[in-house]
Amino acid sequence: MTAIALMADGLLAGQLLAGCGEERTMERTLEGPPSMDEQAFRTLYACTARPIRAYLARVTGSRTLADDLLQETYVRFLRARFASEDEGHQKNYLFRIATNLMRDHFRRTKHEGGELPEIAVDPAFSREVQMRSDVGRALAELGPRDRTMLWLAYVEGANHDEIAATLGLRSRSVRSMLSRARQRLATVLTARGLGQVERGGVS
Amino acid sequence: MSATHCRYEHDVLAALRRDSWAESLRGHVAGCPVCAEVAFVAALLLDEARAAETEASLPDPGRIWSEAQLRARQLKVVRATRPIRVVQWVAVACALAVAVVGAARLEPHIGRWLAWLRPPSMGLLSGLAFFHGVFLLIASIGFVVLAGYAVFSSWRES
Repeated sequence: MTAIALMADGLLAGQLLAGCGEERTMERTLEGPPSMDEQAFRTLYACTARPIRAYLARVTGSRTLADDLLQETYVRFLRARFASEDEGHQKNYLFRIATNLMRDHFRRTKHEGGELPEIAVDPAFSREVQMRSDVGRALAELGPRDRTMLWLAYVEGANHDEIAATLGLRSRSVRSMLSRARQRLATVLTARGLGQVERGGVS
Repeated sequence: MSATHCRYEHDVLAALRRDSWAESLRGHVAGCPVCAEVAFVAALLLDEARAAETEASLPDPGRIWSEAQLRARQLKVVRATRPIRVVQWVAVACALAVAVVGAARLEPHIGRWLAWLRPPSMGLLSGLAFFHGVFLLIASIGFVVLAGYAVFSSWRES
């Protein structure tokens, strides 16, 4: 199942919000944990797929890879028969699966230690993402682990404990690593001439 | 406040997400390099995320659902046939053991059977012994061939 084939009849952006927040249909089987029916899955997908795909695309640097990992993320979620009906828990769990898949990907592509590398060593960070925006290009200069932490912290609003759990790190380590990653990105962004405009806009 | 952390970081992020700034917080950000950096980086990343979320159509959830169902069925089949595979391997091991023992026991007779294959003339008793020997030889060869095929089949399935 390739991403390209699936994109052919994919969802449009406008369909995303339909059904978000509606009550989910969860059925509990006699043999085991609760399983999700297709309608409930479609609703969850509509509410969570875009942020997860954005996360995957910006951390891996490839939209094609992001779509492949997105599909695998949801397949594994369904196979895992995640027990919680809470949308927040489900979303956290999806992000954790997605992060693990990315880590596996980076491990396969010979990044050290099986961890998301802190230093940018990925020359293949896709041009399609880099060229879209200055922020995309700035992210490309960071390592996947920095990109992951920054995205989870500042886009998804994850706290240090959640980031630590997702990345398999200690919470105390996350605090200083996140700070260093933020400083690196700020330096790169400022070097690209984005600093003054945005700072002036906020403050 | 340290050089790299500030206790108002979460407030800054929350204000950014709500796009609603209290004057006191705005004043703090203006004077706090950490919170200014947080606001600067987070604002750009949030903009990037909004852009990324509208980039292209998503993969069809129906196909993902079908893929998950297919894999679940495959897993069920693998689990359901596991006892069969175990029994197959046990049967193959037994067959090999029997073949080895049988070959060892038949080995002294093989020479005689081969000698019977070329008798110029045979009586009734020697004729019966001849057919009995040929039958045992063919059965032994068939057994070895079938056992080999069973080993091959089990290996291919596993």
